[in-house]
Amino acid sequence: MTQSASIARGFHRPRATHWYLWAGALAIVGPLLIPLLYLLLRTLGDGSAAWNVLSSGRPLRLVANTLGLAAAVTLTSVTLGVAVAWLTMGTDLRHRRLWGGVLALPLVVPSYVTASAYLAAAGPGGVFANWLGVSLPSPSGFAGAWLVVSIATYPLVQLAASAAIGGLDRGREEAARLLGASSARVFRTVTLPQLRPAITSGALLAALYAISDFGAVSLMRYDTFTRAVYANYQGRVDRTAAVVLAVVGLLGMALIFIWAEVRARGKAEAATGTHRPLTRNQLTPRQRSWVPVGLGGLAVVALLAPILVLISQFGEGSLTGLSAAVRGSLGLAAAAAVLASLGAIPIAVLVARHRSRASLGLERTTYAIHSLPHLTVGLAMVHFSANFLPLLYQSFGLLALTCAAIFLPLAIAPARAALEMIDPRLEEASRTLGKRPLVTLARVTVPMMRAGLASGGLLVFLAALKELPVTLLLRPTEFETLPVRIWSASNDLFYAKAAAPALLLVGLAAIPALLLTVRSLDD
Amino acid sequence: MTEVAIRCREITKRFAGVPALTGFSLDVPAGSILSLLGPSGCGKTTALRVIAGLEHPEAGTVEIGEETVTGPDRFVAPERRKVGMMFQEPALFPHLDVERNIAYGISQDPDRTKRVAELLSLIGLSGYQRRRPRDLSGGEAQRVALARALAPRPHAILLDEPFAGLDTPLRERMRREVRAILVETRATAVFVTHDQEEALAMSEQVAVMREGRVVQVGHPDQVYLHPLDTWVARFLGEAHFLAGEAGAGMVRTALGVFPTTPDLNGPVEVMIRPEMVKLRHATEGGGRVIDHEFFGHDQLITVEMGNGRRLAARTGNRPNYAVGDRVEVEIADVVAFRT
Repeated sequence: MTQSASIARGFHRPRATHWYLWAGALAIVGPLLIPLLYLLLRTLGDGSAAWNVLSSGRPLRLVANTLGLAAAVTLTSVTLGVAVAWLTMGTDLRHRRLWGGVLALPLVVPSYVTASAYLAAAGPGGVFANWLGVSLPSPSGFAGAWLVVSIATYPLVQLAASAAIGGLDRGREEAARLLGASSARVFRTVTLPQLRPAITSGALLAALYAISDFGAVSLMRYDTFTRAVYANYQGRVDRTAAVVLAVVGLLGMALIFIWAEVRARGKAEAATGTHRPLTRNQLTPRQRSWVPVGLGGLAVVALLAPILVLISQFGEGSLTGLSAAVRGSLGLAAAAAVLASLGAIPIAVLVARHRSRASLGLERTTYAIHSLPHLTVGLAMVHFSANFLPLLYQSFGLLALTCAAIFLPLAIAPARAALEMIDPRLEEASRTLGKRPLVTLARVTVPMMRAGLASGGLLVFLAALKELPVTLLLRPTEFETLPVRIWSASNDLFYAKAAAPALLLVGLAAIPALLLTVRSLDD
Repeated sequence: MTEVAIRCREITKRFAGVPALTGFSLDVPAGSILSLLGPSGCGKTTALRVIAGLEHPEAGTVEIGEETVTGPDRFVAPERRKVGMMFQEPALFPHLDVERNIAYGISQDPDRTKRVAELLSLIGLSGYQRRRPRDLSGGEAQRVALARALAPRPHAILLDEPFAGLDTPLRERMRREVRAILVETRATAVFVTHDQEEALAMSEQVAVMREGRVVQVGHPDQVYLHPLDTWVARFLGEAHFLAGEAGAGMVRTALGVFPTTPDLNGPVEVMIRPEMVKLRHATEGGGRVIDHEFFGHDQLITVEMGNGRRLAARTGNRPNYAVGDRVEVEIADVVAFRT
């Protein structure tokens, strides 16, 4: 023992060689982590202030409202998501790929856009009243939030369940059948248990979304933690209440679900060996005729109706100032995409090439930040910059950096996947040919990661384009983006004014989504 | 005494507690090819990577030329060691064409275009400058990898089972070609393999490795015909062992009395390689053929002796033997080991 220790001490250890990777990684994660920790310590450290806010009685109603919404949304999106996934992946439904693709599309439509469209459509003076002659009840409050957030979240469950169904191996079902189990028993005892981790994970993601969503619940005037945080922040000198609600309520609740989600994901097992997909279940003639009707109905409610409402309103709102919002959105999304891609390089290299407790911890930290309610993260940044970095307070740079850091995992995952496809021998060959690690990184590693970095950048672009709460909190005065414009107009009940930016936003978001789909079809 | 190009001394390396090298020592003579031969998992690839500077050992030293590159308080980065490496896979940079791959290590050299052309002609791929790695066959890619490793004129070139990914006919041709190129450029080369035949055919010296250390170094015929112990003997080729009693320059065994070195006395172990066994068809022979494998260029025949002992013999591809034939067995030579 002592001998080996002395040998280890005597030897030059290559510890310092990745310092530049760590510096690069911390340059993008650190600016977010420090404010978050500061906010957390400040709030938890000042017990009396927290108690004053929490003992007022109102938070109890917020808890009930938030959990109620999360429960209703989760139930709805699991039902819809699993049904759509099974019909499009597990049966011989006609045009099942097309159905699967179309029904997943609401994923690219932000919840506040759908909310704005339904609010514009309903009510006595609404679009539906003009079209149908009957006015629909206004979907505000719980019902509205439930409808809109469910539309935004069922594709999450659908995608998770679809992937799991696609990954099922026929072998186990066949083995069970050969052992004498009926097809119903096979589904219950063999198929479903294999899908459960994916469905649970999707359900928890939906619940987390419902808790964290700000745009839709605020437009629907439904009091959850996010809306209360923003209301307590906006126009107040004393922001203690906002901070306490954001940290204790919102963050606390989210962490429970994040924890559960991580646990559920850990249980999903990887497929091994040669994979033979499931035999598709045949639909009966009756099912064959009513299934498309049901799926069509869902497509109308989730996608077609909101888009049509937006189109019908397009001409009615004024377009002044729209180009500034477009420029703001594109600029912010591009800046965030570039920053996140750059930040993803050192983290991906650390995790894939220098795996250690520290590098894995760093990667997990970025995922944890990504899962936190964006409102809490935004509030932490505002709070910290206002107190300590007045030069950066409400600057474009800080806003872009925050968006990049929040969406960093979207860039890390493809970058890391690309890197893991690269044989480390290539980098070693470069070293033995006389190139320093940094030169090797620039001339071999990064050029080979290009495709992964581009995919990641595109994903971040797409996410930052739609980001609302962080932009609302951190934007410089006069700086506008499409989401801010849509939300402000709808919040002031000028739904017609929100239609044009909403359509533009969906159109812009569809371009990178389309590019990504084409790219994945190529592979 | 020839000049030593690479000197390794008492290298120890563990992976997560599992020892890979346990006191690895080796001298590689300058300007010659040395094969590092051992079963999988004996640490030969690790030894190569330690020499290249791709692994940090816990103890021991590596010297390249006169310079200590790995040692207590000293570690020269791989990019400053000037050793070329060829891996099992060609590991060509897929985003660069053949010329840029070969020129990668000499990007500062103003004459690199000329050097690349020279190397391409050496490997028989003149005119391939603009090709992409994905358009090359396995053998071509390996040759480009060799040219890339040779381009900076390294002190030594390390080859880590470079032909393992190729099929047999190509593998033999590549072995011959690479050997010719290495000899022509007078490169110092360390060639790692687990294939006995490849090691014996490829190199001027063979170093046999076992459990993290070199157990025997010598010319191919020396290690094959005079292995240090029964393990090396068995590892280098098929061998039959039996007990014997040595004394006065002779060894007495169940299969007869053979000459041996005069310094051996007392109980010994005796090795008989199949090619030391001669067979003759004979109606009254002492052996009976019980198994027969025909390889084209030769055949391996298992014979059961009168006392039930089995012995393998390698003979030319004729005369033909069949299971059941009676044969007379003559043992030309044996190797005795002290037990």
